[in-house]
Amino acid sequence: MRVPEVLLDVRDLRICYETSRGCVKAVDGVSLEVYAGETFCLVGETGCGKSTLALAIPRLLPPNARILSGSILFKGVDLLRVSDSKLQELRGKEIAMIFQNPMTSLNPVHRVGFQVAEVPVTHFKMSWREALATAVRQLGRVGIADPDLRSRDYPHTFSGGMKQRSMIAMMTTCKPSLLIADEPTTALDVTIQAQILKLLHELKNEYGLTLLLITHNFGIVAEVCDRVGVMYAGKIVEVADVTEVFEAPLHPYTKGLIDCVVARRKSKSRLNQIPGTPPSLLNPPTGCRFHPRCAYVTHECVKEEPRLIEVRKNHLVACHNYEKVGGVSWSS
Amino acid sequence: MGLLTYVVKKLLIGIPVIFGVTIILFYIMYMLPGDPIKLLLAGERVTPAKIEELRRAWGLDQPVYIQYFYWLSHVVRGDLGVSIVTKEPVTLLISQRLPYTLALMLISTLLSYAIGVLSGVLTALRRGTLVDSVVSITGIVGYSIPGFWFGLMLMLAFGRYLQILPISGYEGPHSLILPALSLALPSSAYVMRLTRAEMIEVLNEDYIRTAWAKGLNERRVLLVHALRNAMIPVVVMFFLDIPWLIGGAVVIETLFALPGMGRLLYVSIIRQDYAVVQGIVLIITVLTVVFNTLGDIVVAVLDPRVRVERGGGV
Repeated sequence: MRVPEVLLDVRDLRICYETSRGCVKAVDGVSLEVYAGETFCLVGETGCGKSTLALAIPRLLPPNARILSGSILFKGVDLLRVSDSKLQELRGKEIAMIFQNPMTSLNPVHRVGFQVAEVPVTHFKMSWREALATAVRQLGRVGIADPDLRSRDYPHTFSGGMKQRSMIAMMTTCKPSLLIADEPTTALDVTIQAQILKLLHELKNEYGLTLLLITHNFGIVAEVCDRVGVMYAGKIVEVADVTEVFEAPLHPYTKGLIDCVVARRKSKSRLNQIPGTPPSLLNPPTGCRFHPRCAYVTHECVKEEPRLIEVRKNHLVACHNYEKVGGVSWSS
Repeated sequence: MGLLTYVVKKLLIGIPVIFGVTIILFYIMYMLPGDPIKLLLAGERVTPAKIEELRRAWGLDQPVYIQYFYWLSHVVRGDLGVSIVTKEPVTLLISQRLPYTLALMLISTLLSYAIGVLSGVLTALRRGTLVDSVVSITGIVGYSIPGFWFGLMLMLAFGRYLQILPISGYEGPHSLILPALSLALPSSAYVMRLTRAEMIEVLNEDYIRTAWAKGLNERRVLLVHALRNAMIPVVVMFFLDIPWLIGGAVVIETLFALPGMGRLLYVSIIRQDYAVVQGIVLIITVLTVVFNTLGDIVVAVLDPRVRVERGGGV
């Protein structure tokens, strides 16, 4: 079997936000490998640190964020230690990113075509005429009707879905190796969500790019992902192939998340939920961070933090009692 | 085109504003206590018949609305009337004074916006550092100091002790340096605070993060993406500010004894020289309307969303 090439290798990353109430550890010792050509989904509840992790990769964290330790290796280069000018060369060309809110992600005072064309002008030293033609082509490729005409419009005349399409056009003109999509469909209508996902999936195959998709929606995971990483309270708790995650989740939290989705299919049963709320990252619980909400909790869970270990082939989990979890669903 | 319709609309709105201001002002002047004829005679003893004759000659025996229409009918022909004190045409008086005031306005506005925008951008980019603190505090102090007091201090420093700049009257372009500085200082502090706040807000916007994510260099992110947006409110301020400077010029021109329009206005109000006051206020009103309209147009050019929100189509 061919050994997959590691495109992105995050090692022991710790990030905290400085706030007036102390240091909030949004990402606390995360290690993660993303293989070239795959779609990797990072799943978790709001506030679990998945967006922070995503923003850290092209170093776009807000100013109050501090990277405490770790490294992010992209094609063997540590993005956290590379110079600003080298990073500017990588951004938009090798590593591109799409954000959660397309409504505010485009500059209101510049024409959409100009904003797309800026990317090839910057990275390929293209002339503006050439770049604008490229922008029109790319806008057409992502599904903007009349791209020639619409490229001369300002963002406020575009709908949310069209703005997100424009963002995708902007971020894929240079055919990057890695495309990070941070909840790209959260702010959009359900009907548009499916179209955007389909578009991302198509572009991924067409350009052979690697997609790192951040989401809180397990429905999206099932549709497009190859591998899944589940995050809880700043830590990765489980990593596995998508089929394995759905068929035999090993972490109680993953199981709970899947049950929330699966239960809907049994029309008469109530929607399943995970009891309790995510912990404060200002003062996370001792031991396993999920233990206050976990049905499988033991004394060991309170005292000692479980390490992320490979318990089956390509299946990593951080749980003391994963053997008890495997196979048995909460709802049954 | 959308922009053209927008401009025409803005200009049409300006016309009733100018009329409204002149009507209100005319009436206020009429209501003021004191009799311009008595001031005209300056204590000279004449018969009541002579006073009546003078009143008739100056048209002051007519009802106020007749006086207004009489004045207006001359204004549209470019005649602002005759000063009751000096007997000179108002247009001549104003045209002699206007260049000084315009020069003063231009220099001080450019100065205050150059200082204000540069220091505002600098403090926004160096937010939270020593540079930010020092410049910001200087700005608050500057904004708190009245222009005339600052003017007096400048006179003392450059006129009295250093003796390098004139402090009274107009002896050449260098006579405008101190008055321009006195006008520019408080204004520049305000511009700095506005620029800093806008710049900080814009730098936190999602589209700035997008600009970084595209791999643009710092210069391009700041100039093409951030500054362009942050400057919109500053440009509005710029155009709204210019007519106000004439108000400031009344004090500063009086202080520095400059033969400008502000000083003429001050003197004319004291003398109840109706025609001159009317003429100057008319010019200030027209300038205000023109600069407001210009401001609206420039903002519509800078911010494409404005054209839609305020009517005019896409």
